Amino acid sequence: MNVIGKKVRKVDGQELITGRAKFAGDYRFPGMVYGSVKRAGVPAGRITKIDADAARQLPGVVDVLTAADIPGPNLIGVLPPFDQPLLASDEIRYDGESVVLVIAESAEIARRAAEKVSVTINPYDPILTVDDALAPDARKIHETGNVTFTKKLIKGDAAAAFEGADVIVEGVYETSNQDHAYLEPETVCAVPGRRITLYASCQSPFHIRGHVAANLNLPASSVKVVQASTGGSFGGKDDVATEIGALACIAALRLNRPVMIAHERAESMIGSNLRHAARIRCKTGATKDGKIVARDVNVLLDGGAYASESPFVTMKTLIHAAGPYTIENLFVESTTVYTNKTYCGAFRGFGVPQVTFASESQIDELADKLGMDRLEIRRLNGLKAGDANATGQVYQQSVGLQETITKIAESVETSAPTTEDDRYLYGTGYACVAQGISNGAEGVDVTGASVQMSQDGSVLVGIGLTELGQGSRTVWAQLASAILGVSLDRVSVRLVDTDGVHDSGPTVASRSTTVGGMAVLKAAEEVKKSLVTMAGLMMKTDAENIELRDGFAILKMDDNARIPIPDVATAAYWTGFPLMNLAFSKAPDADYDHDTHQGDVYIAYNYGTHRMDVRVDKLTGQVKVLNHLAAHDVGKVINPLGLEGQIEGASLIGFGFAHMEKIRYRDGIIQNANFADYALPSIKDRIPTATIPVEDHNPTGPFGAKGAGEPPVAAAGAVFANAVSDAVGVRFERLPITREDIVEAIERGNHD
Amino acid sequence: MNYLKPSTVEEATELLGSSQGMILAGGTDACVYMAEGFCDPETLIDIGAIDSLRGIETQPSDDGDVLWIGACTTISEIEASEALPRALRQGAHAIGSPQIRNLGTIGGNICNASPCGDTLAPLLSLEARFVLRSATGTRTVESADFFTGPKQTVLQAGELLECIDLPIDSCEWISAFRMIGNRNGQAISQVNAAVSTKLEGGVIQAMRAAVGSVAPVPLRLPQLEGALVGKTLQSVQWADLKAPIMAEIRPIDDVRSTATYRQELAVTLIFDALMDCARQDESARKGADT
Repeated sequence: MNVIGKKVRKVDGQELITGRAKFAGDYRFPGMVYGSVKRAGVPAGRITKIDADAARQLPGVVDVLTAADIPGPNLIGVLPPFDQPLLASDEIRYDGESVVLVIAESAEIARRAAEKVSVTINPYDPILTVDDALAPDARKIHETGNVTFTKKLIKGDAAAAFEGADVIVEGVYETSNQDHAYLEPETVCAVPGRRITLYASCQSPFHIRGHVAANLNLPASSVKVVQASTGGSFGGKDDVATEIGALACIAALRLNRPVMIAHERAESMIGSNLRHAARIRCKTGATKDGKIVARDVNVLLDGGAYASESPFVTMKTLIHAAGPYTIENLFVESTTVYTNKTYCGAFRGFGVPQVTFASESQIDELADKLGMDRLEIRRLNGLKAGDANATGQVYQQSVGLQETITKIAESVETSAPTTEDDRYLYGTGYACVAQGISNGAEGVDVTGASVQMSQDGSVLVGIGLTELGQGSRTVWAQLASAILGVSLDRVSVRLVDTDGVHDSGPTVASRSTTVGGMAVLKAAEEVKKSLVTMAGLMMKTDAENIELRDGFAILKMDDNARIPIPDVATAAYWTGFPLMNLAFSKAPDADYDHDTHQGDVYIAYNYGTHRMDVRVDKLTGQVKVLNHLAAHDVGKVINPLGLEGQIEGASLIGFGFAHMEKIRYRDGIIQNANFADYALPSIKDRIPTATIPVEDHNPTGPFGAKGAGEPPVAAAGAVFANAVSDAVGVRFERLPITREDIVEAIERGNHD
Repeated sequence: MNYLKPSTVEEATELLGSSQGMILAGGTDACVYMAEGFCDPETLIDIGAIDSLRGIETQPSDDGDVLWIGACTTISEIEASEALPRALRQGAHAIGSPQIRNLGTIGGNICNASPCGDTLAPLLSLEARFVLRSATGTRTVESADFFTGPKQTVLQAGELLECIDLPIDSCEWISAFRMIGNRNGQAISQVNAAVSTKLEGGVIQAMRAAVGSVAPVPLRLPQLEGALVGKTLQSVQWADLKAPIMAEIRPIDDVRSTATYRQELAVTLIFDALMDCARQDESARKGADT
């Protein structure tokens, strides 16, 4: 049976549900000790003294490390020059900064000992807003200044085009920091030996390997990183896994004992990257018949203390500020600045949720100003195959935006319940999104994968990208199963291990199915060649007359002429045909101008249209989502169950971003670093998302597929804002739109 | 740290008197405080295994029959008990998650004395009495007098909460509870409210209302109670409630909410609880007709 497009259960579902999957915190090694760090506790300042005597004297404490004990450069980061220390040596740039690492016989002792370390800090006035950071006389958080990264996208002549616009809308839109809030906080376990092995809850093992080796001052070849089962990541387990991974390895080699570092929830929120808070000034001009002629956007991102992924997030906001629309004249400037707050980096959506909220708010405002239908204005301006997008890139196929709009327009009209009770307000919102798939011009898209078949016909797949709960392992297994004609239960996908496969870059940018899938496909095709060649020899025919299906090598012209695949595999082995292949896949080079941001960026885009119907309680501000439809062009659905999971999960993150979640700072200290006060949606807040797949074949993905993990975040966030604005009759320009905000807006409306 | 696990109340009060230790019941608050470093007790006295502190039953008392609730009765048991008034069961249901409710106790919710504790407003509206016990004797305190500030109570050194007495007649009144938090599940109340009403033909003969999280302690609202007596529940308007409630509450801005929003919520939650009572009364009367 061909499993492509079939609803299949997660191949690793059973081991996860039954508790057999091994997470980093489940590892136990003889003699293992535990690490915990002392954090700065103030947002800015200079260390004048570290006194760890009290900690050292605590029974069970094994070692205490400061910056001076790090063999390498004591720096990590994403884009050189790196700016983030593992342990701060002099300057403190945010409250959660790690200063001293304590190693003890138990996690409890380590934590208590870390509390006893005294770090004297001469405090500075913290810089806590983007405006303060950009003030001409502002203190420099880094030697390079307070601008982390700034870029412009220039297409056509926006300033001139506004002259010809009949209507112009302008606004300033703000969004807040959001925490990844994965179930499993960051955890690593380092085991010393001739080579050091790091078991890590992580997203990008090769990235970690590089930084661990550099900070150990050892060659990368002496470090092996194994991804443990990972309880969620959403972009959050890159930098921090590198930080604690390197620290654990350094301690493990000093002590010659295994070292585990596992974050508490508060550490996971304070000492690990967040989603960038944004302030977006946006101006859009259109003709009186609704055609958008120009847009001018200025994006300011608060990146916190370190650069992390900020350069790439900045770039992503530039490229996506136009939304999925044809806008011929576009000027976008995007800047990330340093502040004395928790650093910001990758988070599912990667800058796109922020700019999509601004963009989609303005589309509604334009429609209202012009008296146009809100869906119609999106259709009118929406990209089609052959159109040039924001960077001038033209796709001749797989631009399924219009079909997602059509699907939403055709969706059953759920009329607002007519009720005599005037307690509730009802509203409907729409939002469209486009999100680039692959690293594209932001980096390089290489992936390694291995496929090996045993003589019994079972298949083992290895790949350099990570399963984080998104279901990629199932997709890769389906691809190998489809190519090699064996059933899914005969395919295993092993843990990622940096020894076993080519450096595949990070597991980001919704690239696992698309870019990762192509590598698996390529390796599987090589193994298939051996099998069909062997079967051809066995059936005395040419290899091209053989197909692999249902566990057999089958003669295409006669279904009854078939040989079980294990027999073919065994014969191939004994004949000397290779049954394993280590493939390397590289997406086409991007042709891109990094000054104007014009050219080809991504191998594909995912397009989507959402509709949301809400009921707002005027007295409490509670919002009940009555209906949420999410149509996405995913090229080709590989696993409908997995796709639904991705779209529902991403939508809930978008809903939390738009309605509930906000990191609250006071004087640079996070006030709600726990799940009681940080309003992460609970199961009772789940929204009724219905997935509507659109399949516009993508030539650059396996079987035509495109990634889908991120795009619904942006669309769900924007559609919530539009639906609530529609219900309340007031435009909300700040996310999250909390219950308080809604009540306040209604009150204000009553008094006007 | 010394961990003591007495099996009788006598033993518990003696240990408490001699050690000045901290009481541990379900541990859903105490363990969090210890982990966060808010407290570091030398001695922990776990009363969770004392059978006589657990249960719900009718008992005679000097002031007529009472419904007796042992302090270590779990929140889940409160939630599930059909003998208990609706407001208290709804309050119990609003606490945490099923796991927390299975461990947490009503005595713990009371003695933790958080202004947002979800069983507190119901207990005040039911005029519950708390029986406090020490090695030297017992005393009874009205629920409305028990709380003296956030996390502060009249409990003296060496005293523990033994049980809660609910006057039987207040259990026969129609009651309801409402809360709102920053999400729908596992939320801490930004405001909570309970009302308990004695009705005749839909007319309020007597009522008690209480709110939480709008003052340093859970509050009874006597002005509101006086204003509503003699009215029919059906005729109560949101706007009628506002002035008497505002006169008594003193909400603040904090990490969970703002004072302004809390004011609005206090009125709305009392209103919603009253409407819940109206629906209960209506269906009870319909039931009586048939």
